[in-house]
Amino acid sequence: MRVKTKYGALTTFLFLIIHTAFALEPIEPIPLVQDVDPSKVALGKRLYFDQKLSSDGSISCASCHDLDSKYGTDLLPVSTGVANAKGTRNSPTVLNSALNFRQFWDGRADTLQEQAIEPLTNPVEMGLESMQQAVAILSADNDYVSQFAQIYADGITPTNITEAIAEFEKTLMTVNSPFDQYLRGDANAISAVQKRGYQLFKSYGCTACHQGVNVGGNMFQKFGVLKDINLRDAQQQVDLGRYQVTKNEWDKHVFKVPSLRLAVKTPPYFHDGSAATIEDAVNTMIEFQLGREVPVEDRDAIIDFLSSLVGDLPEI
Amino acid sequence: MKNIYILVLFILLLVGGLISQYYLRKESNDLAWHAIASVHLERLLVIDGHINESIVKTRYNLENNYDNLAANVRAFSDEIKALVKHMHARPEISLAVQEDIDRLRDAYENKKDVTENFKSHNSVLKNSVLYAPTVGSELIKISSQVPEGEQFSQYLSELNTNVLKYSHSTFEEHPEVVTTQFNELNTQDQSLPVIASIAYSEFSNHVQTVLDEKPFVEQYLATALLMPIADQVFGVKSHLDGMMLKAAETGQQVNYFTIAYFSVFALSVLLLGLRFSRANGSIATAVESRTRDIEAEYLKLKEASENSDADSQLSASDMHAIHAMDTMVGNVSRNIGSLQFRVIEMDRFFAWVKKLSDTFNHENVDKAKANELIKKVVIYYRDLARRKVFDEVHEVLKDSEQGLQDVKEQSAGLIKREVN
Repeated sequence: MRVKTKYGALTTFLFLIIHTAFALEPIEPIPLVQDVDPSKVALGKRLYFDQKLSSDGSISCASCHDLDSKYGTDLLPVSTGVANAKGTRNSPTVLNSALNFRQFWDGRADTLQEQAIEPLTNPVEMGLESMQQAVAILSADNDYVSQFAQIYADGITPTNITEAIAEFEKTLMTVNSPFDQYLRGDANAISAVQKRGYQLFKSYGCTACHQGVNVGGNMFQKFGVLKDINLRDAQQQVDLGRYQVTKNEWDKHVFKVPSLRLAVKTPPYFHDGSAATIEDAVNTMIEFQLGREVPVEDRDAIIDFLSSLVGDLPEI
Repeated sequence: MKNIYILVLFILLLVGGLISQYYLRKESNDLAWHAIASVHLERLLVIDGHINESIVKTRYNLENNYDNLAANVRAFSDEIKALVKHMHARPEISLAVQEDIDRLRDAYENKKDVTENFKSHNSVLKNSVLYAPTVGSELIKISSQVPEGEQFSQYLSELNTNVLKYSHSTFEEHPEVVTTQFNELNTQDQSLPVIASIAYSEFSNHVQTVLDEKPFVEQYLATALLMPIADQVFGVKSHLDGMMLKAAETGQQVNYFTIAYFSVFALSVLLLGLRFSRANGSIATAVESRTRDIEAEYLKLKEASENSDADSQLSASDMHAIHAMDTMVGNVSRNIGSLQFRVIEMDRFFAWVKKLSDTFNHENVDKAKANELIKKVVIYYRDLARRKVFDEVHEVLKDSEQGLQDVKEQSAGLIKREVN
């Protein structure tokens, strides 16, 4: 009996050794250089910060995705749009968003360019009646007419507006984080605690969803995999997530897995901004996604590791 | 006047030639369009292969994140968009092809959904597969420390091993072994120390997750791999090939038409040329023949004149007649010389025309060579026409005829006087 037990334990041990030794690292560094068109980037930057592109001239892309000190968000549970209208979901950071496989919490836009249309014409965001209104606003400005004409043969069009904005957003990367330096071979780029946090991040199974170059942002997952999320959200109206796009039963409570690259800098958390601190967010993940209990020191080591993912802010 | 008709005919033939060139160009465009569409379709097949490869790799931990898979799905989407854009650049795209493209897009959308479901379930499975052995090992350690936990520890160890085997097994292996062991273990969990109850709860939760999720993962894996993307791609390709075959047949007909057209064109030019050649040849021969006669007559007259000169002086009128004849014969001789030069020029022109005709009669028409020849013939013709060579020949012949008539009359008068 004892022999069988030892054999089983040995098999388990060997599996874990082999799994750990031969598994590729689930996270990869952000490329240091982006392939973009500089003239479109310049135009996109101007559009990104221009409040003219809202119905009352008060809101720009940068209003909810602040690039100065708020790491591409507004640090609010939900954003405020034109006429003080409130959004329904938390504004994710625009930084590194080009690395996401889809855009929006429910992934309804395939590309940054597709995504750029919605805030412009959303009544609770920038509130334009249509993209044609954006064309009319920009066409009244000779500088814009000239700048578009220099880049696009067909001048100011809805497609060209969103393409320029998307091109600018592709440059908004936080490269060269300590963890990326560590992945590139600098063993001293992160602390011992952060290294331990990374091992825990992997061994607790966080990398099952938060992996890839953006440490997330490349798949959908149900919110509440191992524990019913309704237990957490019983008192609120529950957002059904991707189900609202696909109407597939299995897409209820499914959301795009967010990137953790700037997690420690961009509270509050989740699609509804319901977790005020990073500790709250990690606790919720441990309980509902991993279905286990984790010692506080392990959790804190994981959070310490997450802080090593923060790279340099892009120069604007 | 006749030359104008010939010129008009020539221009009409040339315009016809240009129109057939237009059809040839269109055929060439069809070929290019089809080639580009084929490249897009080939790429779709390659990318679909990469998607399948990434799915399998992420299932068995050969790829440890979903970036490649997501990038390949995006690449597929971009390639379909490029294909659709390319197809719609051609307005006469058939309904059947459009339906095939729609089916391909639907198949892709389905595959995208299946792939997303695979990723979600695969992540949950991986999470539990990763965690269950860890907590299982802890439980083995705890339970083996108490005497009553030995049996439990043994079951736990076997289950732990089988969970790992099962989670990485192929489709053929069934979960019955794990399920049976798991149920047996659940009947014995009373023997666990209280401190291990939370750990056991987590362990059983993850074992159950493995049992629940693995069928989904394998179902989505198999569905994704077996999705008929390639069939849909070949469906589009098959219709495109059909369209292209038709275009090629039409193109071939256009080719035959063009060859026939240029053959007729060359023949007509040849016939026109021959007509000139015959006409000019006969006049030239007649002029030469007549000139020889006149020269012979002239020599006779001159001999007679010399003979009579020996006997008596010629009358003034005879001398005048002989001088006039001499002048006329001289003019006719010059004209004949000029005419012969023109005839040589026209012969050269007709040689080009014949060469052109030979080229088109050849089985495999060398279009470049034919075009070059046509160009030369046209330039030559235009040059001859510009210099009014054809008119000049007629004028020369007309003058020569008149000159000969005058010589004839003069010589007749002279002979008459001689006889008298």
